Amino acid sequence: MKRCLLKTIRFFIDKNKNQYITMSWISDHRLSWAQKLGVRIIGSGHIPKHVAFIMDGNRRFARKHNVQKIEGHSKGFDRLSETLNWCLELGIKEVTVYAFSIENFKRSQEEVDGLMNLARQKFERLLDEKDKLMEHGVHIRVIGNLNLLPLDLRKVMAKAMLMTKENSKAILNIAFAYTGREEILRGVQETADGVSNGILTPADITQDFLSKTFYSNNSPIPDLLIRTSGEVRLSDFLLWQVSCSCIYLTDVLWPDFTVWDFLSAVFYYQRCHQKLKNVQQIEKECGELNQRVVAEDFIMKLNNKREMCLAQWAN
Amino acid sequence: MALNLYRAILVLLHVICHVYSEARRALRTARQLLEDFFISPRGLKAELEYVREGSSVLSKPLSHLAIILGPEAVSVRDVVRLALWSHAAGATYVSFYDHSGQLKKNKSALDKALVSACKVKSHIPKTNGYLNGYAGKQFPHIMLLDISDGKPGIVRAAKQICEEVLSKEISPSEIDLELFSKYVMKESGVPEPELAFYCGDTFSLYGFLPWHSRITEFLPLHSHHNVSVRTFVNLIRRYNKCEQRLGT
Repeated sequence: MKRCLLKTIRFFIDKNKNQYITMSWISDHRLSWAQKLGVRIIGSGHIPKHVAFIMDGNRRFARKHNVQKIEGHSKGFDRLSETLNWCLELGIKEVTVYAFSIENFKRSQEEVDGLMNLARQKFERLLDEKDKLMEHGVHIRVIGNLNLLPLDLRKVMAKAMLMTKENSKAILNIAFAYTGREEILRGVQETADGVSNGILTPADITQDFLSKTFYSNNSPIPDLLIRTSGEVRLSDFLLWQVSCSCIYLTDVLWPDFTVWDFLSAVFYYQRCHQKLKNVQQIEKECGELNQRVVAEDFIMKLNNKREMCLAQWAN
Repeated sequence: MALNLYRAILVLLHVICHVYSEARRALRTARQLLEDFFISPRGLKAELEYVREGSSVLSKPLSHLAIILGPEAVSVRDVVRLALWSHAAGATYVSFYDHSGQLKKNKSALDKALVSACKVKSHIPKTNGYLNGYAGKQFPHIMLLDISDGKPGIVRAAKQICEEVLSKEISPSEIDLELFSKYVMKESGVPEPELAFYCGDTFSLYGFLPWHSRITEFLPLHSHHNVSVRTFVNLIRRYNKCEQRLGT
């Protein structure tokens, strides 16, 4: 009886705690038995290695519940940390999320500032949670044009990336100040620099080469892209990478996204992955294969240059 | 043991889902047949009039409509119908994307059908003496694309721009979004589509032009075989309702 009472009290304390403390990157939220069963069943089939998310609908959620926009974004982040947990449960190793597009800078100053603050707060929290992240082996990468961001935000992001760079159990790519076109353009610019310096020749440019000049050059292509809130476009996200991926659209708003929505998406992927594998194969065969050593060298130098840049920002 | 049980349940779920989607497909076909028989306009002329009427509500531009055939086998007759309807809906460019390249191989059969319907031929970018990408005076511009126009197209554009860097016609610092976009568009021969229909049950781009699909609205056509004009107009109306926020 006493024990039961204690348990009840603790439950209420925990519940209240959750409301006031900002949520951590690795959520402690436990799944119910039914959800666990769902995860086991879906998990017994073919699981995507890399899943990408367009987390759309935070502002609509805020409007629906009559709260501030930033509150909606904050709820969206909480949902993300839960989603990462589901991915770990299911054995999905890599996740890429669209957090902030270059186009989003066009929003009102107030909202942009709010989002930057939220990001700053979350990345600082991430640095505080070092032990937990290291224990789970989480590798954080921010992809995008970080030059567009405020200095202090860039600094915490660089720190987080360098801190977790040796981890490999789970990878989280956060697209921030990112658009797919800008990513391709950046790659072409680097390549053109290489050509004008006499390192590369135009013949070195192949599909494979170009994709290695991108921000996301360390990731395999996403097998599944999930977009919430009923929109039917890519909004300039991973244009190159998702060209043959399975795309799952759902009407739910991102903060309302549940484990069941997630499992349905994976189920949908299981139904079509074989067919799409063949398309990917055809696409690959379109490209020329032979790559010169200089080209590989060029890529290595480019990666080194980027890492040095990070180290500079972190200091 | 437990794993086997989970696996058995999953397989069962997939079977149920498969049966369900086949049943839906059959129902859709049946409904379409009934509609075609009783309500839909008969004959090409009436169909085009119906499309014109239906798309007069369009409050935003539709200059390029792309149709991704996906896993489906090419049906020349339906491709011709879709091309004519798209033109009637106001699209200057209609492109048919078939990743396997079957459609390009069927070009002569398609052209024969097109010429008899509207005296216009289809285009494959960069071939048939059709060099400068954007189509000439012939109207509407019916473009045939396959997987080699997707990522390989961007690679060709990058090569071309680097050739020009090499010959000092442009400097690397001049390459910006606008300039590179011009090269990619020219290479593909088509502008950005505002709207694309995809066939088949799965939503995927099947390698469709990545650079072009930044803000394209993708809607499901389900199948282009025996597609009904009412389905087409409904999709155009749905496109009209899509709200573009462009990041804001």
